[in-house]
Amino acid sequence: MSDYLLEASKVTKVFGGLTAVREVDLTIRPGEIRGLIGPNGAGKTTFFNCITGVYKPDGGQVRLDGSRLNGLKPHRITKAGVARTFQQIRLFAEMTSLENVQVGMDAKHRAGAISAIFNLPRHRRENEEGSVEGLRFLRFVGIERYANEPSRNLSYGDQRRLEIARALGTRPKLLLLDEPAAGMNPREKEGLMDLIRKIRDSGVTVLLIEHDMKVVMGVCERVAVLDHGEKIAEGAPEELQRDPRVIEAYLGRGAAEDAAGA
Amino acid sequence: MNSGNGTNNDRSRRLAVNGAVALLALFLLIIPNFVSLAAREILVLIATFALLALGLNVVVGFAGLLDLGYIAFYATGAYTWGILSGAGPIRLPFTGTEFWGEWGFWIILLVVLGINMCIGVMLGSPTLRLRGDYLAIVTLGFGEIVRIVANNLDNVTGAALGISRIPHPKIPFIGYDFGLNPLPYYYLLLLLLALGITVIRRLDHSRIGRAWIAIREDEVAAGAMGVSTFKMKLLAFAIGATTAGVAGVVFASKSNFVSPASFDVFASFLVLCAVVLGGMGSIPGSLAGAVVIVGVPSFLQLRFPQLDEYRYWMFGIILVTMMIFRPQGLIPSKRREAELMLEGDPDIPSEATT
Repeated sequence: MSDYLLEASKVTKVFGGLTAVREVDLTIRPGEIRGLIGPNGAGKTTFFNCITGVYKPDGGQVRLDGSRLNGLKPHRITKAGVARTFQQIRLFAEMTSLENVQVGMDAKHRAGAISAIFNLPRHRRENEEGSVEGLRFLRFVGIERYANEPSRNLSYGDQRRLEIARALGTRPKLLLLDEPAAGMNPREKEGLMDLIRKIRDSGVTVLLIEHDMKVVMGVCERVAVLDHGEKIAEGAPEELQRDPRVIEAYLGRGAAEDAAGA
Repeated sequence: MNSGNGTNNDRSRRLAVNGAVALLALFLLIIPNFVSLAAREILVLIATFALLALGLNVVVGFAGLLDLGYIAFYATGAYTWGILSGAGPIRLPFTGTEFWGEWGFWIILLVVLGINMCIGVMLGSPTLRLRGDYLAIVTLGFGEIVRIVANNLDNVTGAALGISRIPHPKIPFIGYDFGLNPLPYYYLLLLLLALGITVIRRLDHSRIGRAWIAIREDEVAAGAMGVSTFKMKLLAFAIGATTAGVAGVVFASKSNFVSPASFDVFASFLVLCAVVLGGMGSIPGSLAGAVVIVGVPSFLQLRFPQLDEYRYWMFGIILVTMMIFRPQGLIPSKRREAELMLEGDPDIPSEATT
């Protein structure tokens, strides 16, 4: 029906007198790695929260594969095919890495309380599949050896990877990554960029919020720029680097005029 | 690398655990035959509390919902048997022991599962939208509401006088009457405990148990991972409510008397203490907690009646000491380790090797 996987049109979110996100349009084709950048407080995470149902947008529409997402509860949106990671790591600290991924995978499981209490075949099959496939996701992001480790014991970079594995466990069509490179060293960032490409190659479309321009420029084909809650530019990374509006948003008006004069 | 060794170790460890559980079960089965009548009464009390703690552990320990009005579900269970057995001031159609005969108690035990599940959902659906402290305050209020209603609904619950002459259970066909003898109640409670432990353990090791822990750890993240948080919290609440209801039915039939005085806030706190002391989210922990919270003071009182005045004082000392030296509880919960078949995969770049 539609060429786009995600169609967000005129998404608006208001907190009191502050419009955190104002009429933002964003369309993403299947198989893209799309970047979403902007200065601190530009509304990037708020926009994520509007898509994933953490916030109810005050205006506009979000569609995935043509069907409406806005108004749905977060877990319904996840089941519809949108998964996310968090800017501040939000793992289930006491659970093992494998269990964290299994929680994500359970989104696609259907065995209920009765199945579990009577140990019915469906419950057994899903649990079995969960641990085998869960391990596969851990291997995919490269932390299989920590499968039985409580997730709070993992290093910062590995926790970020586990968040990605957990989100992939829900078998999303669209994966939203909220500053996955934050706090990573240059080597880890290289690994992360490879991982993001690998995720795209496995058939998952990626929308990436990131401050690290190296990462954004390295993996994204197209980038949208938010400032003060509005989308001010969109295009290939090289174009945006010369765009005076983007330079102004990041560095101020003077810098933009200098760049134009040069 | 160590997988061959690991499975061997796992097997011997599992054997050791199974052996220990079997020994403990045997001990629990024969112990009442070697103690006095007073001690047998205490064993019944401990077993009742263990059942309560088992249920509250699902709510507080697994799902992380601080429920301070838990005893209300114990009360509704007890009153259900009191009223439906025909001992109360109100006579409902198709109820009473003359209608059900020897089957009454056992039917009600099943009926209470349904009734308490409904009450759990009724109390849960408005309150579980709240989080943390707010939930604690509202459940505290609901617990009190149930007690106060029981205290004032003269022609249903008998108000402050309560309901007396509640019938004891009888075993159909052989016509055995439980009477006032604590032993049959003790064995019945052991059976119910075994049943409850099996059900709750299986839930714990399913996607439902994982969802509960996920909600406890981070509700927003759980929702974002596809967990239907409200439904799962409601389920935890309902399971806690049914467990407490079953305990309530046994309590009412044993003491053949219920009154609102048994269901005050302090009783809720006592069960909560058992869960916290034993180790939140740990099934053996909450059972051990019940043994300590109810057993130790009761046996001390039996041995040294003069110490009775110091009962709560000692109680406080034990709790504070525990919280300082072992805040994770007597038997802390431990996430189950999966048996893994790790495959070497040299393609994956890893940070940890450098």
